Amino acid sequence: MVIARWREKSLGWLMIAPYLVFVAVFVIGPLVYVAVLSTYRWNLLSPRPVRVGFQNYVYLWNSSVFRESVTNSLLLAIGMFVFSLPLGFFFAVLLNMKLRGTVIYRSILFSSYVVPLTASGLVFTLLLNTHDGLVNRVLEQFGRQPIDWLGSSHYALWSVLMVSVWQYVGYYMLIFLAGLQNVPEALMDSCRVDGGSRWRTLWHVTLPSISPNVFFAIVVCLIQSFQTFDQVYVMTDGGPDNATSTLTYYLFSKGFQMADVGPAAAASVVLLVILALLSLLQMAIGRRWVVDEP
Amino acid sequence: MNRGMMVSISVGTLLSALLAGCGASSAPPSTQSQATGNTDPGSNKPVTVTFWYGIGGQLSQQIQQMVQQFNRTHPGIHVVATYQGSYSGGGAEQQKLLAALKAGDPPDIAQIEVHSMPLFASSGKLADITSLMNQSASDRPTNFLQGMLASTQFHGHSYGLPFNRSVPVFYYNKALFASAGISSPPATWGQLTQDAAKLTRGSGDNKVYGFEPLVDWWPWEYEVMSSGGTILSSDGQSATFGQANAVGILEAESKLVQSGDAMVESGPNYWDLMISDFAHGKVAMDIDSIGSAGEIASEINHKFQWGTAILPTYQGHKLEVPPGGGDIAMMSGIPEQQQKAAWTFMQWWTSPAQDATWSMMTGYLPTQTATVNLASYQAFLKKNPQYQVALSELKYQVSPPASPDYLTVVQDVQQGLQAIFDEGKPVSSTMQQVAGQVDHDLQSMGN
Repeated sequence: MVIARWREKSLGWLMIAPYLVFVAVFVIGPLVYVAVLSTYRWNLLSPRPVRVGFQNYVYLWNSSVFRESVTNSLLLAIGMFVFSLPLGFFFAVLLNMKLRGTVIYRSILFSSYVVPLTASGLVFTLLLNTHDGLVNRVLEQFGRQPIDWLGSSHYALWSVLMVSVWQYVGYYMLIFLAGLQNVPEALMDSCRVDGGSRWRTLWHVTLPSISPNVFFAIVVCLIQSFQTFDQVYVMTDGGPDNATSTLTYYLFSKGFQMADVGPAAAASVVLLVILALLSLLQMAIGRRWVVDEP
Repeated sequence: MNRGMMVSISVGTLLSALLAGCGASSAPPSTQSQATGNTDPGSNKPVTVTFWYGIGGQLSQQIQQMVQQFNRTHPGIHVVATYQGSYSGGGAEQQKLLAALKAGDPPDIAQIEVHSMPLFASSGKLADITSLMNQSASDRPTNFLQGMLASTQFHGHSYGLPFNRSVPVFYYNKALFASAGISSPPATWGQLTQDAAKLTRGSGDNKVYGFEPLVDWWPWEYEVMSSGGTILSSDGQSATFGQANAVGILEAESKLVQSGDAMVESGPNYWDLMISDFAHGKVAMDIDSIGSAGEIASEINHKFQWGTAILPTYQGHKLEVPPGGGDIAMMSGIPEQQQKAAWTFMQWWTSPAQDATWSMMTGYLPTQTATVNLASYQAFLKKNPQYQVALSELKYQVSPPASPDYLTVVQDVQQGLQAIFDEGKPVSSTMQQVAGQVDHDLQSMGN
C-alpha cells in the first residue's frame, strides 16, 4: 500500500521532472543570478565584480533615464489597454456576426500577429520615413506638413504604440472571438425577448459571459506592453533623447550596449516586481467580476 | 476557460517573458564549433583560426575575399571569418564578444571598435601583443602611420593592430560652391558659418541648405576636442564636455540650424539620410567619415563635382580629430598554435600589399607608411584625391579617453545630441545635464 503510493508519487515527479529541470535551469537559475548580479558593480569582463549592496537600486531611483523608461513603458501599457483591447473586441464582434467572408477577414486581422516584430518594425520604419514614407505622402495629399514620426520626441512614442497596436490587435481579437463563440445563444435570445437592446445585451450578457477572456486579455496586454523591445530596437534605438526608451530597452542598453551589468540587473528585478504586482492586482480585482463557467 | 487555466497561462506568459530576456545573453552562435577538431598537432590538417567581424554588406564580402586569398596562400592555416552584426560601440558583434568571453568560448581574433578597446583591454581578455609587434618585421610600431596606433594601446601596452580605420572629414559640393561664388572650402567655423548662409537658397522641397550636422557622438568628439575642451577629466572619473570651452562648435552648428542655414536628419537612418542629402545636392557641406567616400561617389555618380577638406578649426584652437573604425585583436589564453596562426594572419592583413588592396577596395585608410609610398597607392590617390585629406588629417588624431566605461558616455551623449538637434533644446544646458548624467554613471561603474 505504502509502496504503491510511493510509486505513484515518484512516477508523478518523474513525469514532471523534464519540466522541473527546464524551469530550474532556464528560469529559476537565471532569476536568482540576476538578483545576485543586481547587488554588484560589474562590466561582464572584469575579473573582480565589486559588491555594492543596494546601490544599483539607489542609482536607478536617481536616474532620469530610468524614470523616463518606466514612464514610457507605463504610457505604452495604457495606450495598448485603451486602443488595442477595444479594437480587438470590436473586430471580434464584427467577425462573430457570421457575415460573408468572415474567414478571410479573420485571417487578415490575425496575420499581423504572426509577422516577426523585427520585420514589421523595419516595414514601419520605411512607411514612417519623413521624406518618402507612404504615411507622410498620404498626409501630403491632404495638404498636411510631413511629420517626423520616428525622429521627433512628440511622435516617436506614438509611432511605437501604433506598431504595437497593429501587431497585437489580431491576437486580442482571437481571444475575444473564442469567448464570443461560447456565449450561449439561448441567453442572448432570452435577453432580446425580454426587450433588451443590443447595448444591454452586450453589457449584461455578452461581456459577463466572456469575462474570463477579457481578464486574460488584459493581463497579457499589460505584460506584453511592459516587454516592448523589438519595435524600439528596430525603429528608434530608444531615441530621440530617450523618448521611446522602455524598461526592457533600458536594461538591454545598460547591460549589453554599455556593459554596466549591475543597474541592468536591478532594472530587470524592478520589471519582475512590477509585472508580478500587476498580475496579483489583476487577479484580486478579477475575482470580483470574472464569472467562471461552472 | 476557467480561472485555473487563466492563471497558469498568464504565469506562463510571464515566465516565457523572463526566458526571452535571458536568451539575449546566452551562448555565442554555433560558428565556434567549426573551429574545434582541427587543432590536433599530430595531424596535417591546417590550424583553424576563428575571426569575428562586424562590417556588413559589401564590406563583408570584401573581408571574405581577403580571407580566402589568405587561406589559399597559407596552406597550414585556415581562417574562418564570421560576420556577427555591427561592430559599432554597443553593437551586436560587441555584445556577442562580451558574452563569448564571459562564457569562456571566444573566437581567436576579433574586430574591436576603437572606442571599445579600453573596455576589452582592461579586462585582461585580450592578448598583449607589444613584444610580438616589436619583434615583427612588418608590424613594428614605427611602420605605422602617425596616430594610427593611438586606439590600439591601453596603459602603454598594445592590444590590437589597426584594421578598418577612418577619420571624419569635411565634404563639400563644388558645384554649389561655384554658383555661390565661394572659391575654397572653409578652414574655420567663422568662415563655415558665412559660407552656409551664402549657400542656402530656395524654399520648401527645393530648398538647398548650406550645412548638415551629423547627430552622432563620433563627430561630436571632434566638436568637443577642437573647441578647446576635453571629454573626460584626465583621471577618467568625471565629465568635462559640458564646460563652456567644450561646446563652441556645437553652439555654432545649433545656430546654423536655428537660422535655417542647416538641416538635420533624425530617426534611425539619420546617417544614411545625411549621405543621401549630400549626394542629391540638398546640402552643400557636411562632416562625414572618410569611409563614406566610396558610397558618396557612387551615389553622386559624376552628376556634380565634390571634394573633401580638413575639418575646420574653431577660434584658433588646435584641430583634434578622433579615430574611427576598428582594430583587430587576439584573445588571451588561446593555444600557442592558434596564437601563431592568428598572428600570421594579422601581420599579413597589415602588410603593405594587403593594406593597400583593402584600403583601395573599401576606402578605409591605409595603416602603414610603406603602403602610402607604394606606386599603386600613389596612383590611387591621384585618381581619388579625397583620400589625401584623410591622410593629412591623421597627424591631428587624438585618441578618445581610455576609460573602460566610455561606452556609457557615448550612449548618454547620443541622447543629448538628439535633444539639441531633434528637439531644439539649448546646447549649453543640455550638455551640462548630460555631463551630470555621465558623472552619475561613472560613479556607479568605476571600473
